[in-house]
Amino acid sequence: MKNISKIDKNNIDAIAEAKKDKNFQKYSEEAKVKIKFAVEVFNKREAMSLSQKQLAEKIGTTQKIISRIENGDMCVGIGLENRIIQGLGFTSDNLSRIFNCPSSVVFFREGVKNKTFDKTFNISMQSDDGVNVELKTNTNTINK
Amino acid sequence: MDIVYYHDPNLGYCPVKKYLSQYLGHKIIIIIDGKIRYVAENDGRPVPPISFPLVDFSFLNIHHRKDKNILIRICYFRHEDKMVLLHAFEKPDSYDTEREKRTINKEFMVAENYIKKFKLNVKLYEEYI
Repeated sequence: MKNISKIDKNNIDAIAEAKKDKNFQKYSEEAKVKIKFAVEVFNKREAMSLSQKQLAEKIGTTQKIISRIENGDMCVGIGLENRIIQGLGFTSDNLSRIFNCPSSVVFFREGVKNKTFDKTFNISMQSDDGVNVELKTNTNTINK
Repeated sequence: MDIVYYHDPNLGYCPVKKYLSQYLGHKIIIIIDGKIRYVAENDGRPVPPISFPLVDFSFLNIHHRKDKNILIRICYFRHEDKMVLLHAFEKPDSYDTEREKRTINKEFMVAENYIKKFKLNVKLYEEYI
């Protein structure tokens, strides 16, 4: 009897159990956004060679808060989120990766020739019949 | 990329599954699950600050801060199209003593040993639901 209860305890799948909760999907979606935000904040901070403390001072918060954000376990209020976005210079690409929304699309006027870019474009579109189209280009020059 | 738990035949259970069972009913499990799935979506590659490679070891690890000074580490490695969750343990965020270093190194060696066993029998796994 003792052995059986031991085996059962070892085989409990906490994640499968959590999925039975009616709010699991909602919490899971929230967690995804927090994780993506954490990755974007970390990458931008590293690219700017800032320590967590330096970033905290720049945007008027504490190192502990930045650490919690990068750990993905903190709900960030709109005010702090705005300060982070401004402080780290987030672009629409960063935001589209976090919130799964389409990033900016550049349209060219007739007559534009040999336009040069220094970045990669991610383009997401949805047609009227619900088909998702994703395009990625790192073309540096567009010739018309 | 499919996520699987390594199942140890000697222990008779999956070490990561057993470790996570202590958080049954806690919200932390949703964040950990989110991190595991995020890494799998990125083909198991290191995605700082979520997952990092380890010098001198052939596996990677997912980090989650449990509280101020405790980090949860979930060791995994990539095998063909699978992300195999090997071992999980807790460690202090910063440590200096030789004893603590030895203890953590021992945990890494356990994970390394699981890789060897898995490579000898690639059916030693359970599906991650």
